[in-house]
Amino acid sequence: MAESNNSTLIKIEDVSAVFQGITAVDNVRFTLEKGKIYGLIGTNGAGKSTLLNMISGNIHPTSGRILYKGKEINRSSSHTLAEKGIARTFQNLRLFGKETVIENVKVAGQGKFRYSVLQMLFNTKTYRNAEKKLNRNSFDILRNLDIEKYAERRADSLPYGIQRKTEIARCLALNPNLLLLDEPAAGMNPKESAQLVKDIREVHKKNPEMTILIIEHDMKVVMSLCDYIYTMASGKIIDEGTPEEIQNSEKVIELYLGHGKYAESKRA
Amino acid sequence: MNFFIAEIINAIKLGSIYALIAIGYSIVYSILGLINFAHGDLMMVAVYSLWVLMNLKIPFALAVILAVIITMLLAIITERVAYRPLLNNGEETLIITSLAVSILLQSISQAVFGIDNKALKVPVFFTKRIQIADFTVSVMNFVILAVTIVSVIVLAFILKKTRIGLAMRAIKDNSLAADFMGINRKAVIVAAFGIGSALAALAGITYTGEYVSFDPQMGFMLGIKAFIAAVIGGLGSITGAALGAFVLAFLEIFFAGYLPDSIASYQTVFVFLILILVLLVRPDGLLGKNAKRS
Repeated sequence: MAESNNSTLIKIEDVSAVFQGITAVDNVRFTLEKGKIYGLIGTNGAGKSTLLNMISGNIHPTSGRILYKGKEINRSSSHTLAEKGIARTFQNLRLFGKETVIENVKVAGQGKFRYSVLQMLFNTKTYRNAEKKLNRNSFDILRNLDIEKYAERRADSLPYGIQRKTEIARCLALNPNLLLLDEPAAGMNPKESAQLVKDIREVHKKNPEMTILIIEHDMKVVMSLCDYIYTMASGKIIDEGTPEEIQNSEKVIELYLGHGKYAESKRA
Repeated sequence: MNFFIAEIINAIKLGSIYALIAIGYSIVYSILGLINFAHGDLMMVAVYSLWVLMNLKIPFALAVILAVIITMLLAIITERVAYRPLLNNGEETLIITSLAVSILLQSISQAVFGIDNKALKVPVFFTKRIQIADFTVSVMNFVILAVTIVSVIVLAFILKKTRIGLAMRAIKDNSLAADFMGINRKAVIVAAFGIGSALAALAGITYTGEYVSFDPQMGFMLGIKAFIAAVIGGLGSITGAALGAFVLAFLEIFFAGYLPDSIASYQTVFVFLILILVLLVRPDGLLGKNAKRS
């Protein structure tokens, strides 16, 4: 059961999350392949965020197993998972608001360019090189997202769209294998969300190995970006498939419209 | 006039010492959300360590360095055994635990060294008095000010220019996000305890170097006063802690110096009164910006 082929990045096996008797996630199983973009949709309270919190180590499953690159990560802490390449954004922005944009990115990137305290104190070559590389790498990320002109600005002084981009930039500094985006288009107008779709595509083009999982209510965003979509309701996966399949899925239509074809025919 | 200037010198001296302690309070608070009531007792630990080391005939400079290191180690050990297991149990639990740690440290030192006052004899160099115009000021006064200034500069460098500083700022700003960005909060907490306790150790040593006498309870009241300073300035803000420390020291010294003798002995009461007044007007302290922890 545990064996997964090389193209599998995340395998979720019968995972449940129960809080004080309430089952938020109920025996969910799915897999995420390397290099693909996935969508996770469903109504509020369906358990999407709980699932994302479990994958990123914020909460731990009550039962079942989460495998990352074939290894169980049920009990791993968020910061070790971040180091291992699982990065995430948040439904409500969680930037380091008092720091500059470049520093936000550097916080995440520093684990990639290491040196010891002694090397710092004696200003050795290793130390200077690591700092130089961290700087260059962080600026490259900003440049790729077209926000390098905001590098020295305080994060909380910037427009919402730029803050959203900064959050993605910060994730990219972790050089992630898996990028989890929690409602990236929340609070955006249609123009901004169209730009977001472009940006995510661009990011994926530059990092084709990266797997992306997007929780999103904006169907336009989900349908135009994702290769494959999982739909959740009441803690369970009720349907999955390509965007086309999901758009035509009776279960999904029923979930969003309340009653689906059956109700429509009755109304008519 | 001379009295006035002498009082200012005294206030700067006391303010410098309060600042060292209050800044340590603030660093630990900003990373951990812990109001560490055992922080003041770390000064006592440093002073007793120094006293023991000097009795062992270890040269003064080396003894000071060792005493600071011992204090840092002890602080890191208390973090490991007392606070870390309770990290997710809420701030109230941590505060009560810190009171327990405080009492424990005091009791141990009472049991080992007895409850009576001891005197710390620093090398005579420090007690020399220098004549400046109409005043004589002890070398120790300058040492205290220098130690505080250098500590603040080193600290500012660590916070602004190093990675551990960046990690600290990130945690203070948004600890959850910092977690997801690969920052090991436990390691940063250890660093915060290390820095905070080093400052407390320096404060304890300079304080006792100036006022000579010490006992197992010495840290508690000083710790409370520094805590008040940190609250007046805005808990969690380093600049606020330093500002609060000097405000408090000036008030305390000038109350004691200028109030009629009959009520001057109530200076501590006035200090607490000031705290209440400041918090009525600015609940987050002078420089506090209503920073919400998340």
